[in-house]
Formats: sequence, C-alpha cells, structure tokens
Amino acid sequence: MTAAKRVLDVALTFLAITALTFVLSRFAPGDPYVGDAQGGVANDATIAAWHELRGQGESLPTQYGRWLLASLSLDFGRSFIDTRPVREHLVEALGSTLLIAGAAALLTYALAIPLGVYLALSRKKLLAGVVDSGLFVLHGVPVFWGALMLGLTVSASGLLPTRGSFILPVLCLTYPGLARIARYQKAATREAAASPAVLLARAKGLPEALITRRYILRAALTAPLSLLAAELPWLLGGSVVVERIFTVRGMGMLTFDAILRRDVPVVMGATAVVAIVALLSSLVADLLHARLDPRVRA
Amino acid sequence: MIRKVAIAVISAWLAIAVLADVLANDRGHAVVGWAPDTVDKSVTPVSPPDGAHWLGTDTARRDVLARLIHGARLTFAVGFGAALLMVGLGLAVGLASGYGPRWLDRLLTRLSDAILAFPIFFVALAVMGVVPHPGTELVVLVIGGSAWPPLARLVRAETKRLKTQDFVRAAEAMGASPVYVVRRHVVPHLMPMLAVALAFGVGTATMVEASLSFLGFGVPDAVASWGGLMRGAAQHLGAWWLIVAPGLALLSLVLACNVLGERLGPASGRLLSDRGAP
Amino acid sequence: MAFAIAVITGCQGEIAPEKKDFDAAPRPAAKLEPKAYTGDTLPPVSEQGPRTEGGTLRIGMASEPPHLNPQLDPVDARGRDIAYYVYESLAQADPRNWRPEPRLAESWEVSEDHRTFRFKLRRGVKWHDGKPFTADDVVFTFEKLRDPKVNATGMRGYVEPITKVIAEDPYTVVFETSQPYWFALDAITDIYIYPKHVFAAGDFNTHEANRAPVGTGRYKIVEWKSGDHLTLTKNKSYYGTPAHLDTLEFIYVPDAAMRAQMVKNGELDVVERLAPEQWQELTKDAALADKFYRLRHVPDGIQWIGWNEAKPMFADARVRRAMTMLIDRDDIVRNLRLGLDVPAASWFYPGSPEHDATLTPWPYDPKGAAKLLAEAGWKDTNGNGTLDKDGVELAFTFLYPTNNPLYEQLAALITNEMRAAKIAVTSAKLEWSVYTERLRRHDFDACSLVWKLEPEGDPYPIWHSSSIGQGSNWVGFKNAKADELLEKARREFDREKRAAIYRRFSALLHDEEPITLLFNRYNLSMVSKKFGGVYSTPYGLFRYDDFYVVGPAR
Repeated sequence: MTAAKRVLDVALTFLAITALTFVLSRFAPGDPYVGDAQGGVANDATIAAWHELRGQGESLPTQYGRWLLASLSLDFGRSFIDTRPVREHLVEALGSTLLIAGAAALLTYALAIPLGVYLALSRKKLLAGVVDSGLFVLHGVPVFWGALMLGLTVSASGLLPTRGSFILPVLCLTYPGLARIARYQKAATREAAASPAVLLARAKGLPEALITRRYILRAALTAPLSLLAAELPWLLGGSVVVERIFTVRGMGMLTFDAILRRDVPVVMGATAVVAIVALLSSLVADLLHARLDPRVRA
Repeated sequence: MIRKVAIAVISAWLAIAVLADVLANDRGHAVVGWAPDTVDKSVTPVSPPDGAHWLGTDTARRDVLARLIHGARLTFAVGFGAALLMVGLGLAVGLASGYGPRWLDRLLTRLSDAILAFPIFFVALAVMGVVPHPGTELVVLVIGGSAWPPLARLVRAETKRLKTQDFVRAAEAMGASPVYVVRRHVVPHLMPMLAVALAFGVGTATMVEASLSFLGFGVPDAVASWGGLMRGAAQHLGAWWLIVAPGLALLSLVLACNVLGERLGPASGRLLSDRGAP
Repeated sequence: MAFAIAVITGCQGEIAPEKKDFDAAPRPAAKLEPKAYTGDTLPPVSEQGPRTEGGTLRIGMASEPPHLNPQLDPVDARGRDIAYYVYESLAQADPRNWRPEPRLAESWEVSEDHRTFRFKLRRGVKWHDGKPFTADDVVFTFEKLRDPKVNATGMRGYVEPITKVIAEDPYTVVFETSQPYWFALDAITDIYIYPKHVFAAGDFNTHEANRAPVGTGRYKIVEWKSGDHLTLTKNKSYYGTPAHLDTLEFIYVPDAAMRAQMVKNGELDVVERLAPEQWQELTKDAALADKFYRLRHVPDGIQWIGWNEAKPMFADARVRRAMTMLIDRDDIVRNLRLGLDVPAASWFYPGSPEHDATLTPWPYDPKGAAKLLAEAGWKDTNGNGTLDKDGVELAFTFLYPTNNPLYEQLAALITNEMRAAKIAVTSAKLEWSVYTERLRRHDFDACSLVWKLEPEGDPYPIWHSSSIGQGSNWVGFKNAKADELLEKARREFDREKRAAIYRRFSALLHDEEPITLLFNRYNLSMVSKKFGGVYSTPYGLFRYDDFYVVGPAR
C-alpha cells in the first residue's frame, strides 16, 4: 500500500472514530443538563433552554460538521460544565499526563532494555532466572492492586507528601511495562545473537565484546522502538485507575469525568487527541518498520 | 513442574467456582456459614476478620470469604467468556484479513486501529452507559469485543505467510474452495497460537474485569466479584482484608494463566506484549 | 443565605428541590429565627482566646467549583460558598441569629400587598477595583439574570416573578413582583450583585471575571490554579469590619482518604462533610484531639427511599408503610452511620417551628408489615416464595446512583430484609446523569436520595400534585388535602401560623408515607484549634471571614 493511501486511511479512520463518539455521546441515556448542578433536576422548558444555549437544537450532522471544522483549527468548543474552552482542559490534563507518562516511559525503557539484554546474554542462569520470574510475576499484578498496596503502605507511613507527589503514580505506570519490554528485548537480543551475521563474525574469530557491541546490540535495539510507537496512545490516554487512586488530574480522569457528566465537547476533544496520536503513531510505526525491515510491506 | 502447578491452581479455582454454593451458604452444612449476599446486621461495615467472619466483611457488611468463593464463579465466567470471544473474533478477523480480498484487509486493519485507539475502559463506560440494565454478559461482550485486535494482527500475518506455502498453493491449484483451504490447511496451523492467546486472554480478561468492578463499572454490585471487594478498600485505606485476599486470588489465577500461556508455545513473547488492565 | 446551599452534589447523591417561577413551584427557602444551635459541639468553640490579626486558613475542598459566577449554570455549592466572600447581596442573614442584616442595601420597605420592595443602597461602597457601587449595578445584575441568552437556567427561576427593577436614583432600587409570596424578599436579597463596569464589555457567559470576580466583599481572589488551589486575600478597604485572616486558601483534594491523611499531617486546617467512618477514625486519633475541634454540626440533610406511586403496588399507602416497617432504620443509623446521624420522622428541619416533634418513626416490625401487606391483598397464593396479588408478583427494582457507598449498603440491606418478607428486590446502580433523568421521567419503582434540609423550606415543589409534572415530586404523591395546605401556607406571612400549617402537612405525610425517611444527616467536620470565631450556620456552613488566629501576634 502506498504511503498516500495509508494517510488517507488515517484520515478516514479519524472521521469514523469521532463521528461514532459523537453519535454515542448524544444517544447515550442521561442528560448533560447541569443547570442546577451536576446532572440536575429541572423541568422540560429549563432543560430545552439549556440545550439551546449550547447549540444542541440543530441536527446531528450540522453539529458534527461544525465541530469538525472548528477542531481543524484546534478549537474544540467549550465545556458544558464550566464553559471554559476545551482546549484549556486538554492542555492542563495533557500536562500532568505527559509528566507522569513521560517519566514512566523513560524509567521503563531505561530499566527494561539493559535488563532484557542482560537476560538474553547472561550466563548466570540462576540469577537471570530469578530476575525473569520476578518480571513475570510483576506483569501479572493488576495495576489497581499494585497502586492500592503502594498507597496503603507508603501514604500511611508519611514518607512522601500526601499531595502532588508523582513518585507513586510513575512507579505504578512503570512496572507493568517493565516486564513486557524487558522480555521483548530479551527475545529480540536472542534473535540477533543467533543471526547468520553473528555466526559469521564468531567464525572469523572476532572478539566476543566486539560482536556484542557491533552486531547483536545494534540489531536488537531497534526492536523496542516500534513498541514505543504502540505504547504512545496508551500513555497519552492516561490511566484512569492510577489517576483515580493517586488523584492526578490527567487525561484519564478528564475523559472519565466528562463521560460521566455527559460533557460532550470535552469527550469529543479528548477522543480526538487520543485518536489522532494513536493513528499517527501506528502510521509512523508501520512506515518505520517498513524502512527498517524491507520484508514487511503490509 | 511449573506448568503442573499452574494447572493445579487453575483447577483448584475452577473447583471452588463450581462448588461455591456448597462451600459457602447460609443453609447450614457449609465450610463458610454465610451466603455471599447475606448482610450481617450485627457488625459495622468493613469489620476486620474475626471468628464469625474469617476474612472480615465488606462495605455492605457481607462476608468477604463467602464473596471471594462465589466471586470465583464470576471470574471464570467472565475470564473464559471474554477470552473465547476475543479468540473467536481475533481468528475470524485475522483470517478474513489475511486470506480475503485486499479491500477487506484494509478495512479490517483500520477497524483494529480504531479499536486500539480507545482504552478499553472508555469503551466499557460508554457501553455500560447506553444499556439500561448492564449485566455480566455485557462485561464479557465489552472485554472480549475490544481485546481482539492484537490477536487478529498475528493471525493475519501468519495466514499471509501460510498462503505462500506450497501445500496451500497446491490445494488451491487443485480447485479447493477458500473455505476448505482455510479450514483444512490454515486453521490447524494456527492452533498453538490460539491456545496461547486463550490462556493469556483468560488472565487479561480476569484482570480487566476486576479493574472495571473496582472502578464501579463492572458487574452489578449485588454480584460477588473480586474487583468489587477491592473497591471498598479505596474508601477504607486501612482495610487490608479487602485487598490482600482478593488480590492474591486474582494474582494466583492471572499468573497461572500466564505460565500456561507461556509454556504452551513460542508465540508467547509477542502476546505478552498485550496490555492488561485499563 | 436562602439558597446558599440549594444545590445538588452529584457524587453525593444529594439533591435540592427544583426552583421555578413563583406561580408554579418556588423552591424551599430559608429564614431561621434566632435560636440555639442543636448540634452537639457547636458553637461552644466560638469566640475563645485572644484575637490576632493576619494568618492563613487552609481549607480542604472535595470538589472544585466550575467557576465563581454563582448566577451561572451549574449552581454549585462550593462555588457559591467561595463567592460569598467575594460578592455581596443586598442583605445577608446574620449567621449567628439568622436575621437579615443590611449589606449593600442600608434599609428596605415592603408594600402592604407584599408586591413592591424599595431598597435604599449603602453609599461609599467600592468595588475591589476602586470603582463606586451604585443602583446601576443592581439593575444590571437582575437584567443579566433575566436575559435568556445568559447561561443561568438554574437561577433564573428565582427572578422570573420579578416584573420590574427600576433605579429611582443612584442609591434607590425598586422591585415589583407578580404576586404575593412569603419567599419573595429572600429571593431578591439573596442575589449577589455584580459590577456593571466589569461585565459591560465581553460575553457574560464566558467572561474572564467568571473566574476572577471583582466584588465588594471582605475577600478578593488573587489566584486560582485549576485542579490545585484557589487563594483569597483580605479586602483591606472593606466598608464594614474587615476580616481577620489575611488569606483563605481552598485546596482541592478530591479523594476523601487523602483529605483525612492531610489533616493528620497538619497540611489542612479545615475539612468538612466527612463520612462517619472517617470522622470517627480521625476523632479516635489522640494526637489530633489536642489540635483539632471535632464538630458535628446541624442536621442539614435527610436521606430517604421513595416509592413510585405510579406503580400499582405502591399506590396503596398500606404497602408503602409496610415497606418502611421492613427497613431497620435503627440498624442503619447505628451501624451504617455509626450512631452519628439520627432517625427521622418529619420532613422538616429538626428544631424549627415547622418540625413536629410529636411524630415518631414507624417501627421496624416485619410481622406488622406482613399483616399490612395481607390486608392490602398481597399473599403468596402460588407458593413460589414471593407475595402476589391478582397474578402479579410483589417484585421491584431499587435504583440508586453511583459513587456513594451508602447506596450499595442500603441496596444489600433492603434486598435481604425484603427477601425475608417474600418480596423480590433487584437493584440497579446508575450514573448520576442517567439516574436523575429516570427520576424526572418517573421511570423507577423505588429510589433513594438526600434532600438538603433548610432552616425554613417550602415543601410545595416536592409535594404539591402540580409538581409531579413540573417539579421534584418524582414519587408522584397526590393528595387534595396536602395541596390545599401547601397553597394556603404560601400566602401566609406570619411565621408561626405558617409553621402550624406545615406541621399539619407533615402529619399527613407521615400517614401517607410516600417516602421512607431513613435518617437526618449531620455535617461532620474538623477545624484546627489554632482558630477562633468558629461557628456553623444552620446550613452547616462555616463563615471563614469571621475566623481568626488565637493567641498573641507572632
């Protein structure tokens, strides 16, 4: 498939996702009316007036079209709840999410890649086995459980300030990925170590350290890159569980609250951001993968 | 050895799930003398373990152990239900994508992309909000219905590879119908991969179900579930008895499934890179 | 004052009655005559120790207000509370004796027919930006509220009956209303007055002053960091007695467990509306006992279960009373509320003249309930373990909103109790926005909520039959005698006579039992002993502008 076609696909998928979200959020039961506070209790006339003020009297296609046009210039409208621009909400939430998710991603890769290489090349079978099993167990620990346990032990001990500390949420977002990426790295390193190039080098009698550096690592380190592309939308989407337990106001909680309150403009804005990042990173990953590995021509 | 342990753990939980009603009920002759939905009016909510309630009570003053035992039922129902659905959808979409016409491949790949763009939690929240009486089936549907894209990708790649193999080409040359080829020559080769996916799928689905219940958007409150028990712990931070036992139960089952998945086949390295809970 | 707290807190499942135009269904209003506080621990902590000027108070807030323009949707409790320090209304109830005290108005006259109100405004009042306050600001405020383009659907109902607002001169404003009603004066004097010169330019709905208000009050806003904190600083040029504390810092901590932890760590001076178990946990902490007042204020809410009379089974008062008798309210109070709340028998504010202290709750009596149900024709004729009548089983669904663990506790309890009485109950938890929509459409069997209780309320929007379609009478209570009493009370301007009518109404409500009253809920809070001037209004609110640091200046 040509790159142009691929880009066209991304655009169409984006349209489909946002249109579907729009229709879903409008037809979901429950009324976003918040005249007298969250959810509200009012008569029909009051509620009709409220919707009228928010441009909800028009036909659905008109509303969606208007939203789409405005969103092209990054204008996602105003929140139903506090009438602030959705963009402001998104910027604030992305700020916290990027901080936590960015730190978690850095930490994950900084730990997982050396670990994976170590596990693949280590000759200390026992130690490697223990580390490997430890990672395996960590991977099975549900995030909300890990977060609760951490919260239970650390918050109560008073070691960290109660509020505003990003250490615990970062840890909770780090450990599940650690196992995943370390094991992926391990597999990739093993694969590289068994490649014909390495066998040839070894047959030529090159020193082991040089082989590792020049042939194995160089080949193996490109592998986790494509994984990062796949992780990106997840990191940006924010983790509802972690954000909820540690009261972080990130993308997860923003979207969660917006869905609960039927704050359609915020739901749409958040969906658009996450969808576009997901689609673009998948596009980039594919293109990158194709460039690195000519056999892959999807 | 480790595989046997894993099978033993899964079998033990399965036995507990099947025998739940015999093990814990308030009709007498039970190991635990409480039904999962009996409210003990003599205690305050979230009371710590004692002689009457070996693992304490939950927020609604129900016996934690009884709910843990009955919760195994839900865990299996949702875990297996969602994993089977996921494998079924992943296989169907992957085959159609890999063996079908190009336009279908393109459409299905974009569909996978679209689903991957949404965290499962939001799908669940949206669907739970639309349906008037969200129940257990819906949780299965949501989890299974949104977890298939990674498997579909693997199936698609494998199918494409098989399509170029001599035995498939030979069958096609002899005039075999696509359905026949897929059934006789492609699917059998995918079996190990599907078994691995199923094992990991059960573990993941179990975890996702617990996370949804934990957030209050899983099965109804009245249904005993491990995640639901732990929800109470978020409000009562000191209540370790609401976290430890259900958490360990969940961990043991998820680990057992993952061990089984990993021992079943070589494709595991890739499948383990699926994301778990929302 | 009157609607200082007339709001719904979504996550708590509290609700305030609908407010609309006066003719159809005005919302309950409030005015408490001077009387002693009935709470256990307030106000003894007030006015103690030497007073020091200056200092900072750190208040933990569970929800962040959407904006600080209390006229705009949504009407938010915390937003109104903070706006109280920044904006002022024409008159304000003195929180200690609950008598209207002049604020921006110096005095007022009410005409014989209770339809014309003439206010003399205070001279020399300055907005925070130094501009003078005049009658133009008052007229502007009411014009904005009445403007259909202004995003104030929640508050507009209050001012709809006002037919005219005229500035006779820069310091005299006259209001006319369409018909006499005892609540009218409160409605007018409760509206916060806005600066015309600030809002004149730009869109009122999205004006930057909605987040950075310019008022005349004792505090000015200096900083609002979204999702984090909001800081007010003392208005040094206030025309009256200035506040004592230099700074009020409202710190946003949505998680209850985290708020409690911050109290323990000394990171907060005030936390309010604690759950009973949290309050108990904190009060058990010996280290905190020396540092904090543990306050159990006024009963500011009433928790109930409603039975939809549109459903045939609940149309019979005997069945509704049987439901009440099957629910062990003592157990709920003792074990679920840890004995901190009290059983309720009357719909009105405990201690107020409207509250009929002679009413006692229906007893918890499953046998009596069974007898009542049998009388009403419900028997298990087909032997399937569930009562039935005319081929219909006695089965219903209990609807409740998410996010308050109390509802899950109630659902589990009711299911148990009803099953023992051969009644089949299923329960369903719904998101708040879905839940309230179902109530509005009367699409439920049984539901549960908290009504905010006000020192003096008008039950009309909740209990008049006309409020079934147009107000908050979701359970569909319809009673000719009740309608007559409610209509009569609205035209009665003598508090005592009005209270007598309401007492008769509440006895009637007790007989009919359209809802099961579970308990009167108390506001539970903790306040640092570093502060004096601590007291609670009858709404359970603190007035931080009267707080001061105890002790000699540091």
